[in-house]
This record gives sequence, structure tokens and C-alpha cells, in this order.
Amino acid sequence: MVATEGGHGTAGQVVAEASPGTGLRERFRTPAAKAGLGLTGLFCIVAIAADLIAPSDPFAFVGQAFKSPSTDHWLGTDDLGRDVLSGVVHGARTSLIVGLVVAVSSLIIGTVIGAAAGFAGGWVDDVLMRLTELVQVMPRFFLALMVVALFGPGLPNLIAVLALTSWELIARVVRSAVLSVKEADFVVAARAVGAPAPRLLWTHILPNAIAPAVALAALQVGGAILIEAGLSFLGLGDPNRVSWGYMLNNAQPFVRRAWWLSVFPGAAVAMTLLGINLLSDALSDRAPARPPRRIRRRFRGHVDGPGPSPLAEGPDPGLDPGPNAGSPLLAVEELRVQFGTDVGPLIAVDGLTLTIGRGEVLGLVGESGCGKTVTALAIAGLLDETTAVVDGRVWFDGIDLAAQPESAMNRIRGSRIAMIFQEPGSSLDPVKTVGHQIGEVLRRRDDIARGQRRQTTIDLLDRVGIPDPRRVVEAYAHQLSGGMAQRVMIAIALAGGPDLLIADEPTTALDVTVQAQILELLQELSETEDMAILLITHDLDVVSEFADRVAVMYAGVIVEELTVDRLGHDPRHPYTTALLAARPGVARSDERLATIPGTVPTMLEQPAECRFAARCGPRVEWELSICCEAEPALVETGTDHSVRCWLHQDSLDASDT
Amino acid sequence: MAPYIVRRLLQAIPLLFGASTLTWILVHLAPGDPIVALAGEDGNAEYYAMMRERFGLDRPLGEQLVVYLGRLVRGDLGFSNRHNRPAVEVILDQLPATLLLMVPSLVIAALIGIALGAVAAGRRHTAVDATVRTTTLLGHAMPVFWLSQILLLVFAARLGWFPVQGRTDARANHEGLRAAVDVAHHMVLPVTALVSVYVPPIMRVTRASMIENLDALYIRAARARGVSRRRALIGHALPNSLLPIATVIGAQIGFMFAGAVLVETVFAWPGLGTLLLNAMLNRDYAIITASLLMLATTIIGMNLVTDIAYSVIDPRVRHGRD
Repeated sequence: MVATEGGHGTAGQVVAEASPGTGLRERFRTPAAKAGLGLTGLFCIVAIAADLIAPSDPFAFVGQAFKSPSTDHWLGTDDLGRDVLSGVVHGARTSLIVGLVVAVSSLIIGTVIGAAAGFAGGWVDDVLMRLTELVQVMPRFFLALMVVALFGPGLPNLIAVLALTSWELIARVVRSAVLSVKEADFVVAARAVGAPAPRLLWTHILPNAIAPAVALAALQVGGAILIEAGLSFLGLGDPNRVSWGYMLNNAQPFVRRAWWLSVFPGAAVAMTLLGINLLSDALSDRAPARPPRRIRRRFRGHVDGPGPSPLAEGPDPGLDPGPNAGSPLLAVEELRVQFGTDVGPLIAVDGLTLTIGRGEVLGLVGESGCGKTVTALAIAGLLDETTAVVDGRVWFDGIDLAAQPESAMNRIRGSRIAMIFQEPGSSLDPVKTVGHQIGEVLRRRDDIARGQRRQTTIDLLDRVGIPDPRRVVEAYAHQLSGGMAQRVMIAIALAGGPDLLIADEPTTALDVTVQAQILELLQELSETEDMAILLITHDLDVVSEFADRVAVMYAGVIVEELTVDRLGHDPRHPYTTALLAARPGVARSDERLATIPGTVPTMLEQPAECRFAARCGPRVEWELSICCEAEPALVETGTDHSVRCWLHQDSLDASDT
Repeated sequence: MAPYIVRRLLQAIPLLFGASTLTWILVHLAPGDPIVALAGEDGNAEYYAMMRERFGLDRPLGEQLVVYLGRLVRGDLGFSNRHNRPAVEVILDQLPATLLLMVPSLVIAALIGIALGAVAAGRRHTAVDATVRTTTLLGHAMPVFWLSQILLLVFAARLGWFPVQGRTDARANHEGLRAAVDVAHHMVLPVTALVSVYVPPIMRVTRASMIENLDALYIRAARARGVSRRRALIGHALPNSLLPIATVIGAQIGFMFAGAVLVETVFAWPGLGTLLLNAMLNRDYAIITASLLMLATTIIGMNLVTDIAYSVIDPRVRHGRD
């Protein structure tokens, strides 16, 4: 139900939503794409206007043999005194003809065969797919070689054999497109109202399937040009046409005597193919998102939360000042995370502050898309710095994690801060054993001798309740159930003996019965191992059963922070109460489940109003204007209780945001 | 595991049958009379008829196809008139020379391509990535026979660092280790040319596959347990990317043979390329059709080998299938 909220996903969604036309124009912005367009354009122009551009007839003997490039003959003359430039120019035309005719015919053949196979199904599909496989295993170059050898050299023969062997990918793509469109709602609906099959094919299915097919056909142009050049180079080209391969074949005996005979036609092939390759790259590749400029930290009038830690102004990064029993284990201050997207920086976390004490369990609660996972990744320093900009401070046992170099973070991760994730199955490397992955953590511990690692691994697996630990050590991810995989992940987390475990929706993907077991295990471990847990979840029931304190997150900020005790009898923020009301267990069976209308807003800029105003029941009911004018601050309203809401500010007019 | 291989082998049979039939049809559609080609143009009609009967050419086409396929099953891929030996023998004689170029090139190209692809993926969207991608695009665009000519022009003809053509130095009669060094010396330029065309597809698929794997959740989890970026790349993303890399190498085998044949002609390397070219000039069709069929068989075999390699590399397939 709850989607993963990885940074990339969120940023990608925004791009897709904000600019539906991230189409051709966007893709041709990169220098590589422009170069591809330019080279291909030049090639086409030269090929089409060959008669106008070439100084002479490519077959005419216009001068002395073997003249090196000069003003008379820019690219020199060949062994018979023919102009090389004219040959290169006319060779472009031959290449263009081969490339275009092969691409267009393979498109037609592939589309017809793919559409027929997909639409007809049954034995027609079987036969056509076997044929496709056959074409796939026939080596194109050698088949072309054989055809030209048997039927005589000539462009028509060559084009025919290339076209007849270039359609198999197009047919596959069209077939699968037809199959998927065939089952699409609108086609099923059209069939239901009695639209005849052929018309369906033309009006609904093909227009959807044709785009990828055209892209594949374009790819055939380069391959066809290269094969034509290769065959002509072997002396199997059309004797009545100048082609680049023909010229290179001609140059072969004179390589040592006349370098220009091979250099120019070859360069023409290379440049043309480079242009086509760059172009098809641009068509198939997504332009990378540019990271936003680094934003300056802005200090707001009010520093919320339990204040900076005593070491906030701090020690040298990297220096461990020793245990600080008085300060919290983790203190996040004004954490801000932005993702670079094509439409500008997307604010995922916007000045988040929270603390966790030693051995404490803090529940971080909110809907998907509110920034919970991003917060967890930012704390662990796992956000990709090429797409994410992280600002603010993360104090962990007196160390500013944000200022640590990568090597120091690698030592901290796994040994002092561990993480478990929502999808345990995908969090294990599919091709490494469980034992190997636990070993990666154990290997870095000095207190466990090499020979003891296996036994320690088995003990760890035993401790997290895995029934047959000796067998599971050698197991791979695909052999484990979701619950088992999560137990393995917990064992990996425990292997380093961490002070803090960040658990990101650890039970969401699991069966209900397994959920309870995993939560019980976590609860037990937090006590026996004296391990603090940051429990990220969308499930308030989980939190109230298991956490000490709760922080409710909405649109990148904490909107309410309170003890579990108070959550039960005195929730203040309208969002918290709405979340509580939306729990499945709350609604009586005859009632509809309460929902919160709307979704978490995506922020491209800092909002001036309260982030929740648009969805807030009390605001709508009482028509509060302030909520839409200024953003409230997180203020302490009681012992261990802070709220970010205009209804719970000490004085409504003292706003200073 | 074993039933799986048997099933895959059975699936290959119709493909082989199709490839042979296709070749047979092409040969029969081709203009020109094989008897005239064999006996010369000035034989009398009676002699032609006798020859037709002797070679079974007077039978119905269907029967001829059956006879042809029957011979194929027994390994008879035709008789080379020019060499006066079975085509298979002639081809197998030349094959080792071609493999001598192809195999080292493929090994070197795989090492370079995987390394470059991994580096480009690890630093994606940086200058390093852009440089690697542009260089390989350029390598991808160069026709291999032209690159060979340029290498020959610069390093053999101009600089004289390497021999121009051939596989051995005919003038010196080396033996033992010195002969091996001589062959290696002759191999440098052709292998360089082949490596440069083998690398781009390997690099591209490595990069794409590594990038996909680097975004996978298990990489995030590995990093979360303190595995360094480099170790996550080499120790986790790379092993998971080996399957697509194996596939691309298997799928490109036809293309790689074509490259080797072209390179051989430039460097006058006595291998399949030279054989094919001469066959072409002398209308020695048996050699051409036989090499086509053998290559198609190799490609089908490579697909099979890659599939089996999957099950060796990937525990999911190893345990999952049968």
C-alpha cells in the first residue's frame, strides 16, 4: 500500500507530472545529441545533393594517378586518377540509400509480422515467432555474403538480404506492444461495443505500437551501412556504384603508397556512424537531472526542538569526544534535503529537527511522500550527492555525521548505526549468501577472530529466531520468505553491535502475523541490546504499541512530537487526529473508514502558508485565515509535547515566520 | 539442471533444421547450374544428364532436400571442388588461425570493457563517464577493416614497429619460443583492431547493467552496513551484472566472426577470412554455405552456453529451474 519514497522516484514523478512533454526537444539539448544531429544532417545533405557537391563524376579519370591532396583535388586522386572527394560524396548517397531502404523495409516487415503474430495468436503466433528466432540466429554478415556471392554483387540483392534479416527485433517489440494494448481497457471496451477487428488494429493498436518500432528501425540504418561497407570492402559491392567500402577495397593494395585513399572514405564511414549512434543514444537515453545549486542555510527566528546539544558548536569533525551520557544519542538539527529535478529543486525535507535518547524508540510517522525515508537516508549519509543536496546537522554521540568524510561514515555505518528496510527480500544481494553478507560486517570487528566468524554468524541468526541457522548461513535471498529475510536483515544489523537501528517500514511488506513477530523481536532486542530505534512507519498502531515517543511528519517537517502516552489521550495537531481516525481498527464495522482527503503536497518552493491547510478539517470548518497566510512554528505546548499548528500557538499574533 | 539442458538442446533442433533449409533454398534459388559450373560449359547433353543423375539432381526438390538434410546430419556439409576435399575439413583447417585472433581479442576486450563499464557506472554523469562513453562510441563507429588499414599504415608501414602482414615471418625460420614470439608480434595489430570493436558493446551493456544494479535496494542495504562505495560496486553490483554481459558476448558472436574475417583480409592473416574470400572469387559455394551453417550452429550453441552460464552464475536460476 505504501510506496517506497526513494529520492529518485519522487523527483522522477515530479518531472513527469510537471512537464509531460519531456520529449524530443529536451533530449537534443546535450552537446552529444547536437553533434549527432549535425553529423547525421550533414551526411543526409551530402548524400542528397551529391551531384551538386562533387567536383566531378566519381568514375571519371580527371587527373594523374596517386596525386596527394592538393588544391586541385582536395582529397587526392586514386590509382586510376579518379577524384577521391567525388567518390566520398557519392559514397554517401549509396550509404544513405542502403540505410534508409533497409530501415524502412525492416520496419514494414517487422510491423506486419509482429502485428500478425500478436493479433492472431495461436499457431500463427507460434510459427512467426519460430521464424523470428531463426532470423535471429542467422549471422547477418555471412548470410549477406552468401547471397551476394550466389546471386551476384549488386545493391538490390544486398538491400534485400539485409532487409529480410533486420526485422526480428521490430517484430518482437510490435508483437509485445500489440499484446499489451490488446488487453488495455480502451481496446477491450471497443471490442465489447462491437468494433471489428481490422479497424481496431489500425485505429487503436498500431498507433501505440509504432513508436518503439520506429526507434528500432532507425537503429538498423547504422548496421546496414556498416555491412554494406564491409561487403564492398571484400569486393562484393555493386560494381556500378561508388561506395565507401568499395573505395577502401580499392585502397587496400596501396595502403603504404597513398594514405589518403583509405583515410578519407574510412573517416566518412566513421563520422556517419558516430552521428547515427549519438542520435540514437539521445533518443534512448534520459538526460541526467542536474543537481540544484547549494542553498544557503537560512536561520529562522525560532529554533524548535529540544535545543542544540552541548557540543553543537563543536568538536573537530572526526574527533570522537567520548561518551556523552547527558546528551541525546542522535540529534538532527534543521535537516534540509533537496533533489535536483528538471523543473528545479524539489524540497523533500525542510528543516527537520528531532532527537533520540540512548535505548529509546522513536516512531516517525507520516503518509508516503512526506519525507520519512529521505530523512532516514540523510541521517545515514546514504543519499546520492549528485542528485540530492543535504543541509543541516546530524549529531550522533557527539559526532557531526554531516561533516564526516566517506571513510569515517563507512566505519560508523554498520557498526554504530544500522538500518533495515521495507523490502527485506530485495535488500539482500541475490547472488551472495546470507553468511557472506553478515561476514561483511563481522570482518571489520576486531573482537571477533577470523575462525569465530562462522559461529558468531550462526549465533546471530539464532538470536533473531531463525530455526535452522546452519542451513540459512549458506542460503540465498530467493530461498527465504519475507519474514525470514527481514530476520536476516536484523541479524546483519546486530552483527556490528549498533547503538542506533533505523528501521524504515520494517513490517509493511510482510504478512500480518509475521509483522507482529518482527515487531516483538525488535522490541526485545532494543531492550536486551540497549539499542535505540528510529522506527519509520505509516502505521500509528505499530507506533503506539512499541515506541516511547512519536514524531508526526508532514510535507518535510515535524508537525507534532509527543510521548506515546499523550498520543493516546491528547493529540493536538489536526493531522495527527486525522491519522488516528483513519486507522482501520477505529471505524465501526457499519461505518466507512475515515480518510484524509487529498495527498501530501510536492514542494518546489517553501510554502508561505501552513502545509496542511488545504486538507485541514478544522481550518475549513472555522474558516481560519491565518493558516493560509503564514506557516506556524513548532512550539512546545507541554512536557514532551510540541505542535506546529495555529490552533495551538501561545499567541496567534506573535508570528514571526 | 540436466533436464533443463536437454530441453534447451531439443529447442535448438528446429532452429538448426530451419537454418539448413534456408541455406538449401538459397542455393537452389541462385542463378547458374551447378553441373555446368562443375563440368564446364561445353559438355554434351547426355553427359549433363548423367551427372545430374549421379548427383541426384534429377529427383524432385523435396527429395533432394531430404537427401541434403540427411547428409548434414552425418556431418557432410558439401564438397569443395577447388580444394578437392569436404568443405568441413577445409574450414576446420583454417578455423584455429581465426580463433587465434578472436579468443585473445575477446578475453582482452572483456576485461577492458567490463572495467570501463564499471568505472563509467560508478561515476555516472561525470567527466569520466562522458569520456569513456564517447571513446567507445567512436570505437563503435569505426569500421574494423578501416581501423586495421590505419593501424597498418601507421604502426607497420610508417613506424615499422610491427610486421605488415601475415602470421609468421617467412624469411626467418624460427623455432620453439622464438616462433611463438614471432606469431605474437604479428598478432598485435590485428588483435588491437578486433579489441577496439569488441569493447564497445561489452562496455555499454556493463555500464547499463551496473547502473541498474547500483540503484537496487540491496546496494543501499550493503552501503548501510558499512560496505564502501567501491566494494559495493565491485563486490555486489558487478557479480549481479555478469549475466547480461555474458549474454551480450554470446549474442555478438556472429558479429565478432565477421570482424575477424574482415581484419584477416587486411592483414593477410591466413584464416577463415582469406578462405572465404578465395571461395567467393572461385565460386566455391560449398565453402560459403558450410561456413554459414557452421556459424549459425555456433550462434545457437553460444545461446545455449550463455543460458547454462546463467545457471552457474546466478543462484536463482541454479536453484529455481528443475
